[in-house]
Amino acid sequence: MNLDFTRNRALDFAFPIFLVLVSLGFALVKPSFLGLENIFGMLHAMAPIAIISTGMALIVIMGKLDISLGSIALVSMGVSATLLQSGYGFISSTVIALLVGAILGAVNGFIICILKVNPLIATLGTMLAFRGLGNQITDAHVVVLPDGFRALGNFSLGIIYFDTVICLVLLISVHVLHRRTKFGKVVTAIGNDETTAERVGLPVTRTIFFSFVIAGMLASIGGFFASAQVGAVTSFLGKGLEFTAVAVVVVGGISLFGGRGSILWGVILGSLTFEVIRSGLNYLGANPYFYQLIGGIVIFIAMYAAVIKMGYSANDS
Amino acid sequence: MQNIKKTYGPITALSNASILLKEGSVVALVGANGAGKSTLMNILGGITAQDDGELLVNDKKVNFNSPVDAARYGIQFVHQELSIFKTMTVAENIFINQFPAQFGIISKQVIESTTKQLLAELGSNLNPHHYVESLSTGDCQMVVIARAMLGNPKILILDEPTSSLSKYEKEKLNLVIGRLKEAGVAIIYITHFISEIFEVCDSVTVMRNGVTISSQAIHETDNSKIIELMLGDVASIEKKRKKERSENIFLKVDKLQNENKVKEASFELNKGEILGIWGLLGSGRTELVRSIIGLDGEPKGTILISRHGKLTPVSTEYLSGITAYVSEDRRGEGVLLPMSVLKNTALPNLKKVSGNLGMIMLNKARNLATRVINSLSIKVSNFDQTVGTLSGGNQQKIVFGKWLETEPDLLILDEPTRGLDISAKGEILKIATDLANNGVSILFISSELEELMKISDRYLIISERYVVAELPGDSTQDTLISALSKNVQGSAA
Repeated sequence: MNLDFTRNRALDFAFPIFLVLVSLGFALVKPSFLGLENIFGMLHAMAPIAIISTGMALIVIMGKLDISLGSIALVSMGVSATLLQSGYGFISSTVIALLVGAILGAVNGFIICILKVNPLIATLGTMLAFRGLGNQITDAHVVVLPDGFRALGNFSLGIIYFDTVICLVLLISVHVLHRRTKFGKVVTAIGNDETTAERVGLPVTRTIFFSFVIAGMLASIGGFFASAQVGAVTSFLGKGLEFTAVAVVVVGGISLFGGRGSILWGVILGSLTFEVIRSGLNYLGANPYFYQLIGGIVIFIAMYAAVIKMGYSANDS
Repeated sequence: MQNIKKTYGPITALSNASILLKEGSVVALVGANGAGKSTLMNILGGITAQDDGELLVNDKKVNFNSPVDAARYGIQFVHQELSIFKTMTVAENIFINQFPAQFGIISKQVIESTTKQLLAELGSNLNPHHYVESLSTGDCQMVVIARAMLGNPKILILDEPTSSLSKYEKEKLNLVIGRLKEAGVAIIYITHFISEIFEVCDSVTVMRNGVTISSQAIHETDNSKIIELMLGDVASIEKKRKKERSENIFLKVDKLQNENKVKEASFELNKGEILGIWGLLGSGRTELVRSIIGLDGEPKGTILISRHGKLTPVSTEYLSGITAYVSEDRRGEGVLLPMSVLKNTALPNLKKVSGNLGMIMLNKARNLATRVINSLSIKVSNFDQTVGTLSGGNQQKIVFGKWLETEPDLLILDEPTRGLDISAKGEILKIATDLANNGVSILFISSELEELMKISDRYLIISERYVVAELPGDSTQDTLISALSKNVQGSAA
């Protein structure tokens, strides 16, 4: 029991240790890799994916998945960019982008809660449909955003970027929502066992629905910063992001089986791991496809570690 | 509760059930399988509504539409299957549906200190911030009871609270029940273990066939009286078969042990014999038959089978190969409800319905399904009908039919008639006797004494996971009942 406990602890720390070692490795080749400027640069670069992963984490803790988040980012930014072009103000178009995120999240929630479709299948469908909708809106063209928009995306005070701060605020808010509110407790309970949660009389349907709405809104915020960083909305916005978000969550130690994990630490650890690898390989001038290979291997290792851990805790009980 | 009636379709679950609860007293509710205990408690707990009859709380008539309604009147139900969330802490589990929050934020300190207090009242010193997955079953139960206590119950229903507890945990639970009694809570204690009743209960209500047939104070009754009431009088028994079986031993089980599932079992089974396994629920009947065919891990002891006139030791795997096991859980283990009759019957006979290339030949599968349907006269429109749409009796016949096609030497029937109506029961018994007449050896488990007596050639008495005795086929009802109560008493002492 004690040994298993130690082993589990060791697995908990495996990725942080891995992360430190890999960073040190990159720093050995290029010392500036661990310079403050690069570190905060990485925190800036990973902000959009970290924001989207925050929503994903909430869904995964319920034992569900939402793979339409990248497409939601595209639709809401597509709408926002088109509105900006036709003369709407920055604030109103951004508010509308957020609303679009919430509505599309509600569509997912409706399909899952009311029509009782399996979340993976439901969001696989909406992933395709929303992307189609998004491309329809932008006509699959690159929509250039106003200069102010781009400035906001790369705005920094000293070395701390604006989107990093927003990302942290959102992460902490969702973390508190998960850990310290009734809503969050129901989310964890659903991740444990949905049937039991229903039997105990918890508001299961309502909680699932609103979790998808929250994830949708976070996806549009993530999309907002992703487009702001490059100053344009392209038809590639958010493509594949949903899967990166799942990977981030898994590497962050949030179990795909639901009920386990910390949103704050999980998302930071997961996003940072992928960002360090990406940026490090970039620093070394490696082939970008090599990054995909390494990313895949990291996901595999994370899943395997999770399986080992599940095995041990199953033996305990 | 007075004169409660409840029917489910054609089946009457409760025909006349009444139970009286007093503040600070524990009522044991006992009865054989299907006697109606759960239905009665589900009505009290607000899970289902009665068709007729009255619920009175403090002399006021009440009606519950949901468990929340029932909770409003101080009724809390602790189900046998514990509603716990493993990855959450003890405190979170206890407060799960009534978290106190300030501006939406839950204070860990508040729930943990309240939990500590609550658990202390129950005499438990569990740590409120430990995760429930690290707890034993007994402690999980404590958590669920504590959650029920948070609802300030006047009536607490404990459904088989001890079924998976260790001896030490049982004692702890008894202490908790004692404390709750002192606090004036009325408790309904459902159990299959008769000896437990005398440890904690003040009175006993016995149910049989949907009727509460007796309510007595604990000092007015004893083990054998309760068991007698539970099982009831058996009207004149007509043996289904004449005693003309062969004396050739087919199966011999010697000193079988399987962890805590089977403590010790030795018995013999003759060819073409129906051996009735007689014991109360929880005595280890199912575990015994599962162990000999290796479904619950590898047991210790020897299993011998007659081969070419000689008894040879065999593995559980081999025995399982020549056995058909009709499990007590028909809907869960017997048939695949959403699949067709054709697919269900083909499944254990895939070799039989496959062609040379290992592909399933549809015509062979059809022939097989038709054969099963005709030989057992199963009522289906055609073999493509899904099994889930059939009646219980016909589903059970499908289970029989598909196994019979495997031409087993040993047939294990575990409560084969549970939930069936009388005519279907009769048919199932007839099929079993026909098979025995054709040389199949049968192990027959049933909670219904009447049906067991009708069909068995011999009895094996099981109590507290031991095979304790063997009785001849012409034993009377009294001998059978006293064999059980004697042994229950023996182990309680």
